[in-house]
Amino acid sequence: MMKIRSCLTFSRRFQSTSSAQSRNHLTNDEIRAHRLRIFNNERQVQIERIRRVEKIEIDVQDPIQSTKLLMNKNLSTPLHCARHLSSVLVDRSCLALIDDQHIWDMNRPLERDCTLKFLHFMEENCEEQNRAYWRTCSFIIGYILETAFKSTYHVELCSFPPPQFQAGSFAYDAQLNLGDWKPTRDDLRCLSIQAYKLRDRDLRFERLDVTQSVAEEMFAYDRFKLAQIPHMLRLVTPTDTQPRLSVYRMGDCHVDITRGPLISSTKQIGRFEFSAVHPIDVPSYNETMHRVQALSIPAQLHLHYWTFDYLLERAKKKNNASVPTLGKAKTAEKLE
Amino acid sequence: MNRALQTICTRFLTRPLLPVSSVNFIPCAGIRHHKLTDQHMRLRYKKLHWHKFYDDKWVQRRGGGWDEKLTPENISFMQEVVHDTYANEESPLKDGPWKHGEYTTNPETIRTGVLGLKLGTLPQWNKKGQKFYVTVVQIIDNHVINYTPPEMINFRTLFTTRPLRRDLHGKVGMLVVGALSCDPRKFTRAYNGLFEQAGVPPKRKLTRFFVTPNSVIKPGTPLYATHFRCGDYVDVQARSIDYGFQGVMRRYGFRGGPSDKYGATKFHRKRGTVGSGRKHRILPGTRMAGLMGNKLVMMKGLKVWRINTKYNILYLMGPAVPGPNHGYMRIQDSTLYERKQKITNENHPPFPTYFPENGKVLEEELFADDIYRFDQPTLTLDDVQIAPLTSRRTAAKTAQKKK
Repeated sequence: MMKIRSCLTFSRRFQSTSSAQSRNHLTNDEIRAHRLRIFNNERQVQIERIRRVEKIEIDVQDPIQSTKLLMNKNLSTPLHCARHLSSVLVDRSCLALIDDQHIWDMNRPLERDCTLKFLHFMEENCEEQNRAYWRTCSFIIGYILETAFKSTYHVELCSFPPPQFQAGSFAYDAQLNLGDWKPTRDDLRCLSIQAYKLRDRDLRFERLDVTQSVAEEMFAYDRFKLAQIPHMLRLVTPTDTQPRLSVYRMGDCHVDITRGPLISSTKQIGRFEFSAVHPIDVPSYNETMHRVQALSIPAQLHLHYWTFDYLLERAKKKNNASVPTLGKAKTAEKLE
Repeated sequence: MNRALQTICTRFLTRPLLPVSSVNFIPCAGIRHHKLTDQHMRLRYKKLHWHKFYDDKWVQRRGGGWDEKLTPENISFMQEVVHDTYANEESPLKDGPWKHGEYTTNPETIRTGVLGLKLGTLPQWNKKGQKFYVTVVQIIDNHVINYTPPEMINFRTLFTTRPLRRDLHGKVGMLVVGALSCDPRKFTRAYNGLFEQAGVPPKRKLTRFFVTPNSVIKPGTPLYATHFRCGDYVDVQARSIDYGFQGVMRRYGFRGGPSDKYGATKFHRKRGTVGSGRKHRILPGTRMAGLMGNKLVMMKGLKVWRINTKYNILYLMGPAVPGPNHGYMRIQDSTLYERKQKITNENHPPFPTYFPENGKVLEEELFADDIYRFDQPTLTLDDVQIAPLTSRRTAAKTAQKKK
């Protein structure tokens, strides 16, 4: 791969626990490949830790059919349970509900005997599903920002605020290094088309809990992410000895840090339109970044173009959700 | 006639039309020996445009209409949004109104027509006490959507349901008028885009009017019933009631056969003979059973008796205006010779259309001169001159008196 020198100077303006390696000589694609490689290695290591396949009993309670399934511990996901039952559940379920309490990803392995319910977007109470959907869409904006620009430009992703419907849109904060770039209507349209291509590829979201050292190796070239890692660590399960960080991978394309559950696959995206790019001041990192905003609705919700355009007008206004902050380790809530 | 040429002619008359859809293009113009009489032209026209009601180049109109599954609060909110988007009547366009042209009779001036909705019929009386029926037509939500100047129109390939006069080719522009504003969520994006320039809500029905360049109207202008005056004569063009497949008695008024009382076997409503004994074929245009109605019919010279300005209603002469109730109709100034004579440079209908002036409020009901008005005092004998009773004069006595 051709290594092109970045024309912008690289300067560290904030304290970080570990040193970020210089990325002047690497393109966005190479950095992404590096992250994916580390993710794959760690995933392989974690799978090999399972010496013996143990069975767990899952009690699936669905209004259409309720059955008891015998699945593999730490290997089977709610998606596998849905595949046993019906293709409708596979296509429309975005999240799973364990024991009526915990929201679980569809592609996250189940760990113990439990009752399982599938959640989709057209239910009465779909607050959690909507939040997971907009969280996923913010994740996707990050991927598109990394891949949409030419290799001469370096995009450094920072983080995204938690999904808030009052704001009218979801966003991703990133250092685009493009100066005063004002995207035209056609530029935004081209970005939106990238999201529709993802929908056609039907990529799954997989979760991985990694330790601090692995995380720092993974995001060695991302200075913003490195600064956030110490604040994001938490104890995932009660049996865990060391705090872990949840990292999600989309298909085999993109890896990013996010806490909350994401939806099952990109096939469930309906309309996805980039609405605006606004500059924001981030005092924690002492920089001016860009907030890229977009609006999306799931494929199950079939809106007329006129209604969606009306919502899009609202999404063009500046999103006032929280700016990325590096708070104290315990109370940091900037990523979800 | 030469046998070979005769076969060629019949083939040209009966085969389906070539892709060029204008009636003005005659496919067998090269073969001039066969005179195409009026009747032949009418038959061919009837055959060629029978099934096609629209131009392939028009955009898809209907869209949406599925259940968006919104919460009840969101449904009422979106209805308010739709209403507010088109609430203000001021044109959003920056440039001012277009200059009004001058009405000229010598190079004739053709004004726009108007799109109306047939509502029903009512009886009315004239001052002689005679009863007649009027058709009530509402000029519902009319706006001018678009104007194309004559230079931009290709008259050779123009698709019109009624052929445009040959002498007007190249001299008339095209105005698109729409009726009945509707929710944009019922239509496709392409159709809604037609109305963005004019800044009006999307319309359910569109039609074209060919006008002389001096009577152009700016897109976005509303058209009212007062576009016509009481006492004016109009031509109405509408699609007649669709009777479906009808037999020859209903369709052409044939007398049919006797009832079964007289022993008639299987001959009650039939056509009878289809040709003469010697000509071994059925002549083209032979009247037989078939689809009746549902074709554009023009009714000329209907008088406007009354106008209601509040609801934009015209009361047109006669109950036989084509079309069923709630059918659309194109209404234009009459092209009849005698009616056109009455229009002069001083006395002409509002040109290019009626524009409401600030402060001037029209009365709700406007009447023609000879209609009888029930709200006015009735005609009394004091108004009428009665000649004194005398014996009948003979012609000789009248002649004597004159001397």
